[in-house]
Order: sequence, then C-alpha cells, then structure tokens
Amino acid sequence: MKIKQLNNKEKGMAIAIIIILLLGGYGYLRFQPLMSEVDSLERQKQATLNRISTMEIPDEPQEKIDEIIAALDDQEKAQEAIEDNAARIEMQLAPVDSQELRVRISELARDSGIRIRVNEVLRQEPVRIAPSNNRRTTAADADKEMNVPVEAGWIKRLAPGSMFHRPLQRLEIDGDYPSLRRFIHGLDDLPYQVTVVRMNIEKLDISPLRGMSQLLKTEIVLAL
Amino acid sequence: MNLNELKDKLLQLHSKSVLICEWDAHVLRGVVFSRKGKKLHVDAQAEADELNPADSLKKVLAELRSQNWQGNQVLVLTPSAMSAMIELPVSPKKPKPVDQMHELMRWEIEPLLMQHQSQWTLGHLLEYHGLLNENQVKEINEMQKRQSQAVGGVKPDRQSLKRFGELALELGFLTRDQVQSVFVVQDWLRSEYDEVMCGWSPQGEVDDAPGVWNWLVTATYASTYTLWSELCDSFKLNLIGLMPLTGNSLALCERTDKLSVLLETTPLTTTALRLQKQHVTGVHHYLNHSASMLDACLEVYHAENAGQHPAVLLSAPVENQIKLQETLSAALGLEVSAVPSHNPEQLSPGVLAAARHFFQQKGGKRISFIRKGGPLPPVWQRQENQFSALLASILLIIVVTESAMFFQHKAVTEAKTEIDARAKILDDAIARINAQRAEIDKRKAELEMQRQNQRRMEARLAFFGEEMPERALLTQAILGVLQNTINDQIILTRIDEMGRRVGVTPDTAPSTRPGVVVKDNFNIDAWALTESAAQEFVQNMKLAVAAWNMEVRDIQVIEKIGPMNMSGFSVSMSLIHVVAKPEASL
Repeated sequence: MKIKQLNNKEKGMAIAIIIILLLGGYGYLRFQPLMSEVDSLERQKQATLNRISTMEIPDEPQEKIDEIIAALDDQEKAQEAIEDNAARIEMQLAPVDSQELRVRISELARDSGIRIRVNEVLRQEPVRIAPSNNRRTTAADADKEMNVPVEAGWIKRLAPGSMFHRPLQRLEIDGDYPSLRRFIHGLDDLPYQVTVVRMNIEKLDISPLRGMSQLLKTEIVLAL
Repeated sequence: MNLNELKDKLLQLHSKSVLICEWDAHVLRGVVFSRKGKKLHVDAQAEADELNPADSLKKVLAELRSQNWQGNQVLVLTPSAMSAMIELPVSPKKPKPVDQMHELMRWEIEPLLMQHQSQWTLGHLLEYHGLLNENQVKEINEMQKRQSQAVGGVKPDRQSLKRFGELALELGFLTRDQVQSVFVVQDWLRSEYDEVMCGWSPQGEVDDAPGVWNWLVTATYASTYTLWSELCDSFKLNLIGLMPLTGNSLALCERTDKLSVLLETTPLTTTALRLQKQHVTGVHHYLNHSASMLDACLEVYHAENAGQHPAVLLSAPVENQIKLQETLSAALGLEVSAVPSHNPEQLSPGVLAAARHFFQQKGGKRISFIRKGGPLPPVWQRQENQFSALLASILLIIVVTESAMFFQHKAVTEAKTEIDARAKILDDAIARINAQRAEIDKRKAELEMQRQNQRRMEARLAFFGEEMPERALLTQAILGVLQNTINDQIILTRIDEMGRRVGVTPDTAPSTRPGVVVKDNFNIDAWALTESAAQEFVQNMKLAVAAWNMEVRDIQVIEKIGPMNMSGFSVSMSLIHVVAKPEASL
C-alpha cells in the first residue's frame, strides 16, 4: 500500500501515530530524564539552601593554640620538678607486700617489749567515685584513682582505689605504755615509711603486779 | 579550484536556473533563465537548426555550457504537445485527487490529441521545411487520391498503395536522404497512440453551466515525453516537463479586457485563446500549412470570433511582431496589442511565458506544463511538503523544548553551583573552626590531664611527704602529752580513734567550723580521784594539745566508781585535730 492510496482520515491517523511516537519517544527518552535531572538539581539546590539557612557557624575560639602549647610546656617543666620530689618521697615507701618490712616491724615490737597477738593485713573495701545523678559512671571513672577527702579518715584515704592507697597492717599488741611509745617511735627508724593511722589503747582489766607498769591492750593499724 | 570557481559554484547552488528549449520542428532555441529578485534574468541563449532535435540540443547545450551555464533543469516547448479547453464539473477550490483528475482530463483530451498529432503529415513537414512547394504537395496528394479510388468497383489493396514519400521520390521531387531526414522530424512530432500525459490549470466557471468549470489542459503522449526525457538524460539533464509550442502567451497578458482574443503564432502553428476577463473560455489551434502567419491569425481569429468585437492581442516571433501587428490591425480594422508589451531581450513569447510559469511569476499560474504524475498539487497539499511541515513542526517543538530545557538546566545548574560554592565556603569555615576547637580542646584536655597529674602528684607529695609524717608525729605527740599530763590522781583507761562520741549532754559547740575538717579524733577516757583532778587533767590536756592545733571537745566529768571500788570521777574528752578544707578535690 502506498501513501497516496490512503484517504485523509487514514493519513490523519498515520500522522497522529507518527506524532505520538516521535513526541512520546522524545518525551520518554529525552524530556522526562532531563526534567528529572533538573528537578533533582533543584531539590539539591533547595536542600543546600535550607542547610545553609539553618547552619550554625561556631564562634572562633578565643583561646590561642600557641598560648595553650606554651602553657603545656610550662606545665611540663613544673611537673618535672614535682616528679623529682615525688620520686624522692616514693623511695621512702615500701614495695607493695614487702615482707621484709613486716619482719622489721615484728623485730621492732620484740625489741620494744611489745607482744604481738595479732598481725594481719587489714583489707579495706575499695573506694569508688560515687555515681552522680547528672552523669553516668564510666569505665574511665572506675579506673580513676580517687582523692578521698580528709574527713573520710585515714584508713579510707589509704584504701584501694584511693590515690594514696597503701597496704595496711593491723596489729593487736600487748605491752606497757613506755614499750608502746618505744615501738611507735621506733617506727620512724625503719627503712621505709610506716605510719600509725589508727590507734586504740585500752587498759587491761588485770591489775599489774606491784612495781610493774599497767599492761595495755592496743590495736594499731599501720600504713606501710 | 580557486576562490572564484568556488564562489561561482555556490552562486549556482543558491540561484536556481532553468533552460527553456523551444523547438518549432525546424529551429531549436535554448534560453537559460534565472531569477534575480523579482525579475527574470537571461543567463545565456543559443539556437541550432539541425533537422534532428537531438543534434540541435547537443549544439545548443555546448554553446550554453561555453557561456558558463552549469544547471540541468530543462523545460521543452514542442509542437507535439497541445492545449485545449475542457469543461469539468470540478471546482478548482475542491479539486479531485491528481489520479482522478488525470483520468477525467485524459478522457476528454485524448480525441483532441489524436486529431492534433494526425496533422503532422510528411507532406506538411516537407512543405514546412521548404523541400516541396504547395503545388507539389497537392500533386502528390492528388495521385494518392487517384490510387485509392476504386477501379472497376474493386478497391485496391492498402498494401499496394504508394505512400507520400514514395510518390515524391518517384516524381523526382526529393532524394531519399531528404525524405529520411524529415521522417526523423516526424518521429519527434507524432507518437504511437499510448498513454496520455496531462497538465492543467483552472480557469473560470462556465457561464451557462453553474458548477462546471473550464480547465486549460496541456497534453501529449507518454512516448513523446519519454523521447525527450531520454534525450535529456543522455545529456545529463533533468526534463521538468513539456509545453505546447503556442498557447502559452496567456501567462504574459498583464491586462485583459472584458472580452479579448489572444493570437499566438509561429511559422508552424497558430493558437487563438478567447479570454473573458482573466480566464480562458476557448482555445483553437491551427496548423499553418502553407499559410502565412497573418493568414493563420486571420483564420483562427474568425474561428474564435463570436460576432462581438473583442480586443485583439498578438503574440508572434519578435522579428515578425511589429509588421504582423500592423498588417493584422489593418486587415481586421481593429487595434491589435502586442504581447508581451515589453520584451527588451527580444525573446520568443512562448519561452518567456514558460519562464514565468516555471518561476511562478505573475500570470505564470494561468498555464501549465506536462510533467510525470500530472501537475503538482498546491504546495500545502503535497505529501512531501506536509511531511516536511510535520517534521518541521515536531522539530520546532523539540528545538523550543530543548532550548527551554537548556536554559532551565543552565539556570538551575548555575544557581546550584553558586549555592554549592557558598555552602563549601561555609563548610570549610566550620570545619576549620571545628578543627581549631578540637585542637584546642585536645590541648586543653592534655593540659587539664597534666594539671590533674600534677595535682595528683602534688597531693601524693603532700600526703606522703607532709601529712603522713605529721600523723606519725601527732601520734607520738599524743602519747607524749598523755605521759606528761597524767599524775597520781589520774588513771588513763582508754584511748581510741573510733570516731566522735556523743556524751550524756551533747556539746553545744559545732563539730567543725566552716572551712575546716576533722582530720584526727582521739577519744580519751580516764578516771580521776577528785573532780578537781579531773578538771585539772582536762585543763592540762587543752594546754598541751593547743600547740598541735588540736582542740579538746566533748568533755565529760561524771562521778563514777573507780578501781577497787573507790569513788571518783570519770573523765572523757575528744582531741580533735582540724585542718583547713582543701579547695578542690581531684
């Protein structure tokens, strides 16, 4: 069939089909993707615009990094000086679980005329940072050594978890008052620092023999 | 190819030219037309008078090529084509499809064409070419009549009859070569009766027949068209169509009266067109034979004249125009106007009319030429044009859409790029500030950590270097103070550090003052023989421990049975060692 054989109606339909096909193809393959791209660009632009309009620009920091670094350097120098002193002090502290020091304490007690009835390690509950209502206790907080306040008492301040933790030794000793004083003064002469952090002295109910000093029952806790 | 040649070629492509060949069975004239603005321009012209039109065309073409014509469009005016007036019940405003119109035209014009072609006899052509005179032609015709008459009541056999050429040879009027040469011319004029090809142009409505319209039809046989087409093909020319030799001057009539007769004559044929206003109402062809152009004009004028006195228009070869105009005017006793009225190039009226028609100038649409497939429908009705218009419309829509999308895309892209650039500047600034802050925070954290470490070390240093030795000294001091303050009237029963006790009557003094904390608290229990000894003991203790920044509190002196059931007084007190509260704890 030739085109010339088509009547006007058929030609019109053919033209309409061609137009639909051409314009449809153009719209589907070209117009729609390009418009989608334009829409996408427009949305991106709007999104960026919205982001910019709601963007909060932080203030420039007032501190100068150089000043902080200088402060750090000064701090380090100061700390080095403190570390020297601290090292000297630390030298006076006995190693943890030093049996030698315990032996020396026993020897001092014997030499001072003191009879040791109980000589044991005083185990203390570790101190922890009390959880705050405002913030949770983190693992870092748990590992952090606590500066136990003075009013908590010497034993708490020396407990595990405290930054002043030292091993504690509890002694129950019997002896008269001069012996006890000798023993306590003798602690200063030990090679390591030993301090009485609790002392409870009680008079024994037994009256001393005539000419003899009154015997005392004493409980002391030593910080080694 | 130099620059000038390139320029010429470009100009040829731009300016369309056409070669119009007019062949009057004797001379072939070729004129090349082009259009410069609204005017026709003659680019080149040539002519040749070979008997064979093929030879003539060859010569003309060579001459035109030498005049720098490079085109290939050819329109031929030939006597073998004719024009006629046909009445059809078809309105020019609502023409039928081309095929249908063709059929209607063919049906009407075929007898006329047959009659037209039968006029090209050998005798007429020999006389036209001057090889025989009028008497010789009449003699031979008489001999042919005598041959065909019945002898004794019996008609002679058609095969035994001698033909015109044979009789002319027998009579010694012509040589065989002369006859053969005219046969060639006849072949270009007469064709076998085969398919008729037409061209048409609408005229006015028939006066006494409403709904019936005059159509000026040009026609020839397909074999004639093919003959010319093949000839053109052999010279690589494109034959546009054929037109009759006469009858085209209608396109040159710029002004027509209410009633006029246009006489167009050549040495070979004469055509009379009866015009009513702008439209042709009648066509009459006349083969001149031995008659002069004046006689031919008078003949056709009288054949067409309906008794009225129409205006007479004359179109004739330029060399005969003025003389013929005068003699015709004298013969008719009427004023005769020349067509065309203005012909500076001295061109044949038929050629000029064909050029007007080709370039669609004023009046050109009043005539038509014969082309393959019939005349072209109006421009907007041509399928290729419709298809082109459709494609152009779609293309235009697409171009407009593309342009709009391009500008939209460009605008959005530019806006987005600008906003992105602004966003990037802000992001960079924020990132820079955040990095600075992070760096500062990190350094501050390091500084704070160092400070904490330092405070910790300072605290440990103070604790182990100051507080612990002080505690040791304090312990020793308490024991020393007690040893010094106890006398014979005092018995020390207990020293402990088990926390502050509450006596029978609570101490009115606050446990601690603001800004100080209790660091050591020694509770002391003793027994005195007398109340004064007890008070003295308390007094001595107060004085002794004051040097150690200690206070004596919760003093109680209560009568109590002592050792060996002796009456006496129980003394209890607390030695409080207070220190200033640290400002901050780690």
